[in-house]
Amino acid sequence: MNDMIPQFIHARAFMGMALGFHIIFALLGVGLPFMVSLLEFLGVYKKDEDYRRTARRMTFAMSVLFVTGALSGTVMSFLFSLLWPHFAALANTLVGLPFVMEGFAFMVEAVFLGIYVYSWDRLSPWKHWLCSIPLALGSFTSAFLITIVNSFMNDPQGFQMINGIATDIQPFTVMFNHATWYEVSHSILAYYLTTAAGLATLSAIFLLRPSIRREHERARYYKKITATMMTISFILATLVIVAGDLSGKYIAQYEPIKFAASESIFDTVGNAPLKLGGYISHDQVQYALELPGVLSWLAFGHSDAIVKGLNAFDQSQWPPLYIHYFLDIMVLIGFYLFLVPLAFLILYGIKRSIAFSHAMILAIVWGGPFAFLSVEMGWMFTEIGRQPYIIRGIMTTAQAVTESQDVVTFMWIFPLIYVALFIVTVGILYQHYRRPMDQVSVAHEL
Amino acid sequence: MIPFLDPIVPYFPILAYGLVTLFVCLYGAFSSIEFGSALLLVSPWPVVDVTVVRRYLNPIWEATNVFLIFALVGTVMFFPAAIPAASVAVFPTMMTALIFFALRAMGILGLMYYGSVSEWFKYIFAIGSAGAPLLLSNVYVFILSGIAVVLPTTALASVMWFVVLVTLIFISISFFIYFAPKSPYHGDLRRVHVFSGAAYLLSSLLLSDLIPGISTLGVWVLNVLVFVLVVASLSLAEYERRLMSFVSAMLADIVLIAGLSALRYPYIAFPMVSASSVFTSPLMFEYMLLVVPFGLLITVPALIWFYSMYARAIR
Repeated sequence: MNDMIPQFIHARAFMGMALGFHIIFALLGVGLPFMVSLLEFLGVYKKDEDYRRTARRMTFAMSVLFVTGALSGTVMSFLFSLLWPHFAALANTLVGLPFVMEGFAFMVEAVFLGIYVYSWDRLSPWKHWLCSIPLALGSFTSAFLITIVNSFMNDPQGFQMINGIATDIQPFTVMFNHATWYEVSHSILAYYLTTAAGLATLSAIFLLRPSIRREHERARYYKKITATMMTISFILATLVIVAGDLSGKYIAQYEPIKFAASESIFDTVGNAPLKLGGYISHDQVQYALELPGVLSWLAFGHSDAIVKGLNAFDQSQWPPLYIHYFLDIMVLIGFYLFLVPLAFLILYGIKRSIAFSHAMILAIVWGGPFAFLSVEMGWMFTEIGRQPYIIRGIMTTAQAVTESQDVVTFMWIFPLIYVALFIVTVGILYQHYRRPMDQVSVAHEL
Repeated sequence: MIPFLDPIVPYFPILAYGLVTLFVCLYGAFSSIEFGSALLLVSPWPVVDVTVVRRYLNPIWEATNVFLIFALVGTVMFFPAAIPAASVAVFPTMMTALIFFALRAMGILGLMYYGSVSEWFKYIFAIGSAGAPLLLSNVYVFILSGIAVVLPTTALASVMWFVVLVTLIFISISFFIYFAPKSPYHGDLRRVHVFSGAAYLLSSLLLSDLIPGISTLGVWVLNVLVFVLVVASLSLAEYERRLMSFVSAMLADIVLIAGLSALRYPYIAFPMVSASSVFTSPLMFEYMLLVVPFGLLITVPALIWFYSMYARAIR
C-alpha cells in the first residue's frame, strides 16, 4: 500500500502534522510574552495586584509552553533539512539571512525568559517589567523572521534561476517580497488575538463554576480579567480582519490560482460572486450562499472587476479545491472573534450582569478553541493552497522531498510522541490552573 | 559584495566551519551538565539530589538549547549543498535523536513543573538525555569518517558513545561539585569525578586513534592538551578550586571537539564532501557574517547578566 503512495505525500503528511502541533505552541510563545508584558504593565502602572498576579501566574504557563514549543520548534528546524533536503539546499542560499537572524531572536527570547522567570522577586516591579520587553520583542521578531521565510515560499523574488542554480541574489528583495507584510501582519496579529481569546476562555471557565460565582471576591477578579481580555480581543480582531482583507487582496493579485481555488471560481468572470460554505463535488461547489459581485469588490475594489478562474490555468497547477473550506472556516471564526467581544463590550456598557450572563460566558469560552482552530485553518490554507509547489513556480513539493526510505516509519512514531508530550503539557497546566488563583501558593505559581 | 570583507572571501569556508564548530563546542560543554545530571539522577547510588538538578535546570536549560539551534542553523545555512546527500545518510539517526529530545522535554516538564516529582519522569528524562547526545554523536561520526550508523556498529561509533557518556558524567559531576558543595553526597561526587576523569582520558585517547586520515602529530598534541586539562580538573577539585575544576572539565571537552574538527578540516563528511565544495554563496555569507556581531552585541551582555544573576543567587 505504502509503495503506491508517493514519498512526498508521506512527507507532506509528516510535515503537516509537525507544523500543526508546533503552531499551537509557537503562537502562544509569541502571544503570551506580549500579554504577560501588557498585564504586568497594567499592574505596575495602576498599582493593581490583580493584573500583576495574573501576569505572574501566566509566567508559569509561558515557561511550560516554552519547553514544548522549543522542542517542537527544534523538530521543525531539523525536518526542513531532513524531509525536504532539495528545498533546503536551494532556500538556504536565499533565505539564510532571516534564519540566522531568527537564531539570535530566539536566543534573546530564551535568555530573557530565563531572566524574567528568575527575577520576579529579585528586581523592582518596573525593572522586572522592562525585562518582559526584550522577551516580547524577541518572540515577535522570531515569528516575523520565520514568516518571512514562508512568504518567500509563496512569492519568491530577488534572484534568477539559471540551470537550477540561484544567481544574482538580492537578499533584501528575497526577504521583503510582495507577500511579506500581508502575511506577517495577518499571522502575528492572529497569534496575539488567539492568545487573548485563550486567556479570556480560561478566566471565563472559572466564571462557569457556581462556587466561584457565589463568592464575590473571586467572581470580581475573574470578571475583571475576562473584561480586559475581551477589550484586547476586540481591538485585535478588528486589526486581524483588516489585515486579512489586505492579504486577500494580495492573493487575488499575486497568487490568482490560490485565490480562484479558495473561492471556487472556475471560469473567469466579472462581477464574481463570493461563495460562502457549500459542498465541493466534481470540480463544482454546490449549495453555497452566493453574493454576486462581492468577491470582485473585495478583491479589486469594484464589483465589475474580472476574477481569473481556475480554467485559465493548467489543471496540473491547481491546488486542492478543498482549501475553500479552510478559508471559510477561518473567516467565519474571525468574525465570531470580532462579534463576541463587540457584543460583550456593548452589554458591559449597558448592564454588566447581562455581559456576564451564562450564554455570553459560554460564547467567550468557545472563543479560545475556535481561535486555535482558525490559526490551524489559516496555515493549512496557506500551505495546501500553494501545492503542487513548495516554492511557488520554482520547485514542486515532489522535487523537494528526501530519498530516504525511512519517512513512513517516523511518520507513524512522531504523532505518538507528540500525543504523549501534549498530554504531559496539558496535564501540568491543568494541575496548575484548576486551582483558583487565591488557592495557589507562590511556590506553585513559578 | 561588501568591499571591506573582500580580503577574507577566500577564508569564508574555514570561517563558517569555525563558527559551526564553536557552537557545537558550546553546546557540547554546557548541555553535558544537564544531560549528565539526568544520568546521575537514576544512578544506583545517590550522588545528586533532584532539587539540586531542578534548581540548576530551571533558569538555564533554555539558553543552552540555543547553541544547538545555532549549530544546526550554521551547518545548513553555511553549507546548503551538503544537505541532499548528508540528510539521507543521517535521516534515521537524526529522527531517532529527535524522539529522544522529545522524551527529554517530557522529563524536563515533569521534573520542573509537575507538583510532585514522579520516578517516571526521572527515567524519561534520563533515557532522553542519554539517547539524544549518543545519537547526535553518530552524526559527528559521519562527519569524521563518512560512515552513517544508528547503533554503534563500528569501532569508532562504539568508542564515540563511550566518550559521550563519560563526558556527560565528568562535566556534570564537576559542575555539581562546584554548584552544591554542601550536598550530603559531596564525597561520593568526588570519587566518581576521579573515575570519570580517568575514563574520559582513556576513551579520548582511543577515539582519536580510530579516526581515519588525520594528522598523527595533531592527534598527539590534542591528546596532550586533553590530558593536561583533565588532570587539572581533578587536581583543582582536590585543592577546593571547584569553579576552576569545572571550567577545566568543560575546556577538555571543548578542546577535544574543536581539535578533532580542526584536524578533520576541510571535510564536512570525510572523504566525499569538503567545506568549500558545498559552501553557500559568498554574498549571502557576508550578510550572515554581518548579522553575527550585531546579534552577539545584544545576546552576549544578556547572557552574561543572566549567568551573573544566577551565580549571585546560588552563592
